[in-house]
Parts: sequence; structure tokens; C-alpha cells
Amino acid sequence: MSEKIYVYLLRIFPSAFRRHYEEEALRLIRDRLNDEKGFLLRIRLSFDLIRDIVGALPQAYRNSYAEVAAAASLTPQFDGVPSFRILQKEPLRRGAIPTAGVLSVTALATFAFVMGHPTPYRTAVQSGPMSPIEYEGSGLIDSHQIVELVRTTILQHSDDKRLSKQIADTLAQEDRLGDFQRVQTAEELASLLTKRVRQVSHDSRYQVFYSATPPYLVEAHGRSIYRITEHLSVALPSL
Amino acid sequence: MPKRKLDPLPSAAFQILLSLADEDLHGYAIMRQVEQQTNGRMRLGPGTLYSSIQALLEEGLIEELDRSGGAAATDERRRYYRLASAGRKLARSEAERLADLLRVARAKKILRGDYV
Repeated sequence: MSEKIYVYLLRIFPSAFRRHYEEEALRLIRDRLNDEKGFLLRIRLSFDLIRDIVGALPQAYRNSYAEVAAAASLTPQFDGVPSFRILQKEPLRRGAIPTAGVLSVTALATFAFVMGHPTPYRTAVQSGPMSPIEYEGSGLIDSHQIVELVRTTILQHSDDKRLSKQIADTLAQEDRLGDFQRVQTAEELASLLTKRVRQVSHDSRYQVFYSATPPYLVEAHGRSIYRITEHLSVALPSL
Repeated sequence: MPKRKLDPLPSAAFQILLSLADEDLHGYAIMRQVEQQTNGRMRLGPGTLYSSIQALLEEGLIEELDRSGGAAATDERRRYYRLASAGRKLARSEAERLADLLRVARAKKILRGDYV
């Protein structure tokens, strides 16, 4: 197959393919014609080219032919070593501008909607029972965090390990049921925790204290006092 | 995630990746290297070769070398290509997949003679 015929056949390839590779493709054919002389080799070359054109068309039409950045130089590169490349100009796809416009308007509308409505968190603060409670000096704190601190303190420091586990389990269960989320202030939460702990232990020495102002601690009548936050403490019976 | 153009990896693309494993090559040299490494079973024509090269470039698996650099060592009329690290990983992964297939074929006693 002569080079001229192959040039003609190349016209069924995408124009972008021809623009990128026509010269290279023809050079490759010239190289093969130079290297493969003889009747049988020329026949084989012709069959190769026919088969190639048929087989290569699907892939040729799948490619996008966007400009791909060339390597910066022939200097050696090492795997895993970051390098900077300059991206060459790539034409915009059809429909890219309308798509970008729609996405921008959607983003702006979403932003305007969100800014024009109070967040669920703020609504909860203003309207009543909720998980975060008012806490002196720190604004709002999650009741769950306080319950966890109290549970941990009792588990770590109580002398009666069996009872402390029973108390901790009860508090965890009630926390899961949302019992402690109904209170609105840390003081109420401390009172409720004290009540629950005493119900389980039948021991009035257990107490969870909240104090907004110093002195934060009450006297320890046969009890050990553990401060769990700046304003919260737990009293446990001491042997 | 959009499907990659080279998933599954076509045989021609895999052979091109393998041909570039040792050194940077231009198109005709790639064709010859592939012919050699397949014992003459695969001779890439220009259409298959350059459409595969374009797909590999678009997927970042190979890189075209800038002909302005190192011109003394490079034939300026030709485009040279280099295996990118992503291409090397993909070639390794494909080779491992084929090795697994080969193990199965051996276990099933499908292969005989030199292959075993």
C-alpha cells in the first residue's frame, strides 16, 4: 500500500487525530517501507495497515485530543518526587459555559437561602429543651459531655467498683434515652445527675455540684471531691 | 467517577507501557519494541499506535518529552515518550493480574511444555 493511499485512508480518522499525528503516522509508514523490503514483507505491511485502520478507529474517536502537558525537559525524573508542570491551553467543552452558569446560580441561591434562615442550632437555643445547655463562663456545652465526665469520674475514683459500674451504666442508658437533654442549665443538670446517682446508690453522699461563682467546692463530710470542669465537681463517698 | 478510557487496559496500550519501561522511545521505536517483546505477534500500525499513545497521554500514564530540552540527544523530528509513574503502577498491576491468570491456567494444567 502506497503512502498516498494511506494518506487518503487517514481521512476517516478524526481531524484532531490527523492534526496531532498525521505527520508521525506517515513517518512510521516510511520507516517501515525502508525497513521491510521484498514482496512478502510489503504484502504483510499492507495487511497490517488495513487491519490497523479498522481496529484503531474506535479508540481514535474516543480520545478527546485535549492538549496534554509535555514533560518539562529530558532531565531525569524520579518516582514519588513532586514536580510542577505547566498546563497548556485546552479548549472549553461545548456546554461548559452554560453548565458553569447554572452551577453558579445554584450555589448563590443556596448561599442566600442558608444565610436567610436561622440554623437549627440557634433555633434550639431559643426555643427550649435541647442538648447544649447554658454553662457559666463557657456559653454552651453539650449535656452529653458532662454526663460522660461524671461517669468517668465515678468509674475511676469510686471505691465500690461494682456500684460505680452500676451507676455509670444507668447514667449512660438515661443519656441515650435523652433524659439529660431536657434540662437547660448546668445547675439543673447537676441536680438531675445527683438525683439519679442517689437513686441507684441509695447513698446521699454522692453529689454533682455546679457553682457559677467561687467557692466552687462544698465541704467534704466523709467524701472525696473531684473537680471535673471549672464549675462542676463530683462528690464520692470515701472509706 | 467517570469510567476510564483504558479500563480494561487494551493489549496494545499495555504493550506500549511495557516498551517504555526501560527507556524513552519515539513512535517507530515503540512499534519495533512491541514487535520484539511479543515475538512478532503484535505489530502496531500507526492508527493503533498513536490513538493508544493519545489515550495514554490523556490518562497521564505516559508523558511526551519536550523536544526543546536535551535536543542534542534527541532526533528533533520525532516525538519521544516516557513512562509516567502512574503508568508504571498500572503496568505492574496489569502484569500481576496476568500472572494470577497464568497461575490458574497452570493449576488447571492448560499450559504445557515451555510455559510450565
